[in-house]
Amino acid sequence: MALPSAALGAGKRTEGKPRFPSVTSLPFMTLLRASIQTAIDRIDVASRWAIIAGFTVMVVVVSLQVIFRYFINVSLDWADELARLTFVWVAFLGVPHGAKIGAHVGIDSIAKLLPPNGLAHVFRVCCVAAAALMVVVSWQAVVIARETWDQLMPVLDFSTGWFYIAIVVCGLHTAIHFALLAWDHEPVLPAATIDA
Amino acid sequence: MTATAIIAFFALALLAMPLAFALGLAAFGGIIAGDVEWHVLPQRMMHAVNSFPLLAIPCFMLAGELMVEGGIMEKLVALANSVVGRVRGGLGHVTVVSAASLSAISGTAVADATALASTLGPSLAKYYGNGFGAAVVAAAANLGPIIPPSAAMIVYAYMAGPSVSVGALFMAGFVPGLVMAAAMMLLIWAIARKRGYPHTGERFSVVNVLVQLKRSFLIVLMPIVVVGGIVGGAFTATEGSAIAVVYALLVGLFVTRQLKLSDLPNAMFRAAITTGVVAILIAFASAVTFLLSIDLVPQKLTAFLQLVTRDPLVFIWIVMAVLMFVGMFLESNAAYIMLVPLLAPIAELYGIDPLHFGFVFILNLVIGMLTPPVGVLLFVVSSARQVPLNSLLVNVWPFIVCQFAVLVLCIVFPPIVTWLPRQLGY
Repeated sequence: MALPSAALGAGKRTEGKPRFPSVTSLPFMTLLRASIQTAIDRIDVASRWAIIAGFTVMVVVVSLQVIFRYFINVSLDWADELARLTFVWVAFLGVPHGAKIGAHVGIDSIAKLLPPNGLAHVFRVCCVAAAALMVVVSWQAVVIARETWDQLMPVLDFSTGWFYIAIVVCGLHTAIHFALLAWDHEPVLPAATIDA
Repeated sequence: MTATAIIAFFALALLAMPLAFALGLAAFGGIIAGDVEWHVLPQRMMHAVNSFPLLAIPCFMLAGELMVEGGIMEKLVALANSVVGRVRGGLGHVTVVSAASLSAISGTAVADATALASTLGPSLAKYYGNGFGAAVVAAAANLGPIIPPSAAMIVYAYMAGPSVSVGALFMAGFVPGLVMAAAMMLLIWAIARKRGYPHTGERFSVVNVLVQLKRSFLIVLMPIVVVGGIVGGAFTATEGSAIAVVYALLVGLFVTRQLKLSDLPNAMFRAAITTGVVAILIAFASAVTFLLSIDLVPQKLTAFLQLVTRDPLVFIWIVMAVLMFVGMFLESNAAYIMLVPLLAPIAELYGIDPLHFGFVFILNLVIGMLTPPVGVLLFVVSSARQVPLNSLLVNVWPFIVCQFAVLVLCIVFPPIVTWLPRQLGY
């Protein structure tokens, strides 16, 4: 997928002019917006490196599994579980970055017909609804993580709750990006392709 | 509950909300309407994504990207040129053969289209005009998800459950992929002859072919090792995908020496974003599917379809017509994720071979990537080659017809799809 260049430079906010200057032009709101932006930029950078680290672990572990099986005749029991855990984290950590750059796919045929102002309002409502959904998902994932915290994975001595923590992080991070998009971003139509 | 979920989904999706979140809100609406526990949502999401087979998607994407960044395209094109460059419409044939070779490495159509457009696009435009050149690139890129490995097949096999394996689908795509490549080459030859396109390549020589084969040996070896290993049972598709990443990295760093370690983080990050987009779709779709199963929707849909027809072939044609329509508007992976859990079990009840049904399902939606109004490949190539969509459309329609003809062949003669996998024990 040809991602916008902004996606590659972590820490950079995607381009876009403020759509609702009446809100963001207030001095307090401007300061608040800038502070949130600084914080989310840092979170994005941390998340990006976590993804890269997780991806590396995933590839190394699965490759080692094959190498050990064929060349050393040893089976790595923990490899499958660790690979799945890192995959779940990598996949869910990737979700908010996709939201930030408009990489999530959708149907834009009808939205394109709307007048610019109507599109801006529809975009804002959709972003707020998606942000609210992700907050609910996070909250419920916390509930499940707490309930399952004492359950351990069969081989690794980790709590199965760690899988749900990935959803908690994904939900909150994605909700923040959707909220920021709703706050002052130009409408972004959904992507037409996932690249697969 | 189902009605709430379906109405919410369509309303939100048509308002351009990303499909994943439209599905999530639809599931949430259904949960509230059906008075289901809210924590079902994260539970279903985790159940859907916590899967070893899905891990193959980011790895194959990364491997393909590393191979292209590592400079394999020039070598693949040179090899293809040495074999088919001299035939009339040679550059078009080189594009198709390069796309087929690239498909055996990358497995995604959009990535293939971008790579082909940048390497062969300028020469195609010079000799055949920008419109026809771009059409050839877009059509040839469609081989990506058909010839193994294929991210689309991994998604389909996962959504279909144990009835069909990734390895079987990989092998099912091999013969139809070659048939489609041959059909497109025949079409290019006929058009080139009719329009009097000049000969472009050097005269065919076995020595030249062998020289080019030697130069690209390690690249050509990759699909043989990876797909061969998966089919031969040496490793699973997921393990094969990780091996492909390591292989691509070693080739790019030490053989072609065009890949830098500093390229790796960005490539991983891009693959992770794409994986996140697929994963959240699967996660929320799984929650919707769960609600549909509580309301016995699959059983009701089966009963309805069996009232319409009891003939398996008629059922396939109905599904194909629906998919043709869906493919015009919906991204193909989103379509697999939403429709496979509903339709694949019904196909089994009709006594249709799951492998045959799965492959024609995929092929139909892959062709959908080329059909307007939402033909993803048209957008990608039009943008990459700066070709107006109209000009591209005028030139691409014979290829669309050609690919649908291959689909019809695959439906009417199932052994085209199933013979090779059956020979290999699937």
